[in-house]
Amino acid sequence: MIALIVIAITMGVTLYSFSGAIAKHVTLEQAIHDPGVTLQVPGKILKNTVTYDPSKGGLRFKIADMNNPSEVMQVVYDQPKPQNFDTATSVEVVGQYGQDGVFHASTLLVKCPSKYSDAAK
Amino acid sequence: MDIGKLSILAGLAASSLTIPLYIFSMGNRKPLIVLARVCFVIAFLMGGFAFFRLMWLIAHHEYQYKYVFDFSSSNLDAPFIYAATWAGQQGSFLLWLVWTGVIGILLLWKSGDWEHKVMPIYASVPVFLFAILHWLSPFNLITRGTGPNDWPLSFPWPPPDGAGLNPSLQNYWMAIHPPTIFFGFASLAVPFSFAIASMIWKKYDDWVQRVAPFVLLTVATLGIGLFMGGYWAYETQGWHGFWAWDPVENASLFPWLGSVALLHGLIVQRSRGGMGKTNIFLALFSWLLFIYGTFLTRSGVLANFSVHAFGMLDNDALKLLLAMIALYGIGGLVLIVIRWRHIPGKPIADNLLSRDTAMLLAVCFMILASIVITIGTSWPLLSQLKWFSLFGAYNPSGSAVSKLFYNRVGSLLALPSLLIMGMVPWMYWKKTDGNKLLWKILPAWFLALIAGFGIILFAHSQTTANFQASTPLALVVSMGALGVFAAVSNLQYMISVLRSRRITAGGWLSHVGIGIILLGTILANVYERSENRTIVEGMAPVKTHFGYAIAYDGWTHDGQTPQQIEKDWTKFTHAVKLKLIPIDSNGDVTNTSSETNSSNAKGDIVGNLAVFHYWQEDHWATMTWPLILKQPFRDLYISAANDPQLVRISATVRPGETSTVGDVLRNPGYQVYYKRFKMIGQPGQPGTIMEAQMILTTPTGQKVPIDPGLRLGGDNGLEHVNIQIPQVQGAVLIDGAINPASKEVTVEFEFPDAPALWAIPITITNKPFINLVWIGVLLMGIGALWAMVRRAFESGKRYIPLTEEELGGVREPIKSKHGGNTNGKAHIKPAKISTGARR
Repeated sequence: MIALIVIAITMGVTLYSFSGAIAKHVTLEQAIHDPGVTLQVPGKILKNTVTYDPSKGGLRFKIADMNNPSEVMQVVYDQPKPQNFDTATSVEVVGQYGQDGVFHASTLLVKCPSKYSDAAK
Repeated sequence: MDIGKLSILAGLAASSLTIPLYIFSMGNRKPLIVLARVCFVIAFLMGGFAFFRLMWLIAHHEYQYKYVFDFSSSNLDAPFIYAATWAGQQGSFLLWLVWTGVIGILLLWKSGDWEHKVMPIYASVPVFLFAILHWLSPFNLITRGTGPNDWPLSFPWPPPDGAGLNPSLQNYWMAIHPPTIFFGFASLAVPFSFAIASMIWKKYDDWVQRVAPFVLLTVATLGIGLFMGGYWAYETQGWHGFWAWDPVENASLFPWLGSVALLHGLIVQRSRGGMGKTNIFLALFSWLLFIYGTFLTRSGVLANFSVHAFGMLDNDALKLLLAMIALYGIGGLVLIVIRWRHIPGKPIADNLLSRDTAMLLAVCFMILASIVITIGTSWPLLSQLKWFSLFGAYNPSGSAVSKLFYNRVGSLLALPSLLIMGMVPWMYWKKTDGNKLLWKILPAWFLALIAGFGIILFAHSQTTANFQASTPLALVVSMGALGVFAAVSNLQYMISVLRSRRITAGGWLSHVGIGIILLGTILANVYERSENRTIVEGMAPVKTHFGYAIAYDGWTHDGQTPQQIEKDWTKFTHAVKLKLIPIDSNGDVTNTSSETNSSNAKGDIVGNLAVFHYWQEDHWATMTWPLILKQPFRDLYISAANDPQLVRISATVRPGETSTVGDVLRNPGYQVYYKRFKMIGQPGQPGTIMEAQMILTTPTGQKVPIDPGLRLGGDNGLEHVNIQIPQVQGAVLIDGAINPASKEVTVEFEFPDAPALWAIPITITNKPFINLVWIGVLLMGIGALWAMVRRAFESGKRYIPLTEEELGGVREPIKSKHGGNTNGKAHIKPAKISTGARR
């Protein structure tokens, strides 16, 4: 009985924890159409747009859609620049597209070129 | 064929033979049993031989072997040249195999009349591992030929040097962490084998004390191993944390939680005879979770959702891993279903206020935590199932759960667990007097309250204009106070048993450790504060809010010019020296003599911040090792926010213009006139030089013609030409490219009176009370090993459930006699509350 109650409570808690903590893996276009929702978006880093100033605002760059290079989105990441970011070609950004037209990333999963060549095999 | 390959094949044969030999021996045919043992020992030796063969190949630089080439090089010293053995997939399987063999020998020796029942099941693990290592051999040679992945025939053979070990692995933890955690993983097979054997042979009682010491070994080694991994990341990766809920970390956490749940279930079964079904389930569960976790992290299915690099397993090896999950999972499930009615379910927890109930709840919480983390980690896969569209959770390319999810679930499960953990020492089996319990836990409550107030005060002291904790204070205070409650209560009880029954103290000590870990984790994570600064060579120390000003203090590589360092980042030992000068809350330096850079006053600390680049397969990767100032109550964690850069005075000019050369801080009086732009060669052709012809005027009026340029390299890279200015002992560089339309250019200069200066962007993080985490881990590990020694003593004894007197509690035997009478009735009468035991 106790165990059942505990399980019921915890399952409730789990479902509650799920809310707002899930980041759907979507394309860039979908992310722009869904502002304010936490999402995970893959993209190619546009190298000439990268600026990094640790003292104000952190890392800013644009990413292009993996399949449609004309779709571009501005990303802001206000934490220390991840290692290997400079050498990465693509990135998974997790965060929210804001009303200001900028994607505010809370996590960057940096992808190195070698991994993608592996995936292509 | 390499003798390593042969030994894998021999081991495969020997371990496969072990199984039928044990089965046909039926436990009493002497020659067969001896033969089975011999076969297992041969398999063990073959696994060990293959392991040391690989180590020998690496130590002797036999680079014609692919594994040796991929993971080692001649400049590796001990211990890394040995630790490189388990740097790759195959090596780590080999490590798993070796530990499976060692633990198997221990099991063979210690399992008594269970030997022929347990060993055939246990021996199936090395069969799988040998098979995986046969298909995924570390003893393959590099193929020579003309294919894209072949070693070209024109290259020297054997290869003169290897690709080298990833610098992030060149750390002493590489020698310690993988062996520890793989020992823990390998030992998970023991409870699994016992659980299967107990169902096959319908012996559901006395496997408990046989298996208990092994489970404690798992709990200790896997637990310590988990935190070792965290400390490794903390110390070398510059991630500012030790736990990130990454799939790779979770994959070792959920089997550990499963084995801790099993441990507590076993204690209940040993003492009260209940939870038999739960324990069998848990033994299967934690083993399957481990293999599942191995599958998740080895298969690359989560590659898009993790910061870790995933090595892809070869398809055949992956199929074998899936076959393991299928065989063990389906086999275990079928057995459980068949035997479910046979497994004696003895009702426990007749009273709400009893150790039984507490243990039951603890086991429930741990199973739930384990399941929830498993689901969270698998979510990228699960959310790709169409079935989840029912809940609107379906997403064709998968979804990931964030840290928020784990933190919420984690704290909601940790709070009641800590409460129970603090009360359980003073609770008796079967029934506890509520009033007495309250009196017993009063001192711990009192200290917890004080700690709670302390945390509130600390929280207020940390709240500043630009720092506000994101976690609610109520959660931090309750977690911290309950952590103190659990630690103090268990410490108190442990001290009391130290006098009479020293051997039983281990478990309580582990609880002390857990309480301290959670207290330290919440404080260090919630109240960590970061600041970004740029430290510039020759400038005044940069002040921080953490009690230190920071100044540049040179490089560890003395004797190299800045240009050499800038060009050659690959030197592993390159590190910036930073000087930390103590300051008071007003920002004034407390030891006055250290305002200048030249002298090191007392109290100044000089530490190394390593930043270097290394070549990884096909690109340059950056690696930083943070500078960690360890103090009793906090760590000051300094990592490079970006690559150190040389700052030079510069001028941006167009043809025909004159400009002053300087920067924000310096203007030594040089001027530059940009005469014209000149291209020598054809655009886009390698070797073409683009020049900016200029005239430099020095502060003394001397005019020097200079023509800095860029040369197009073979692979579109640009090289600097005409750098030196011997007339003034200076140098000039073009920064970036020359604007193709306006020919505008930025030129940087170095002069004896205006040298290039290093600028190091750093992130400084203040992590309060993080040492509590490491102290807690140490106590937890010692406690678990201590308990293991105790259970090892008990393991050979016949299974005797504890007497009424023993059940009544340790400290007050007279009282328990009274309690024993009333409880005796409840003991006979089947109680209703047994759902937990029948899970």
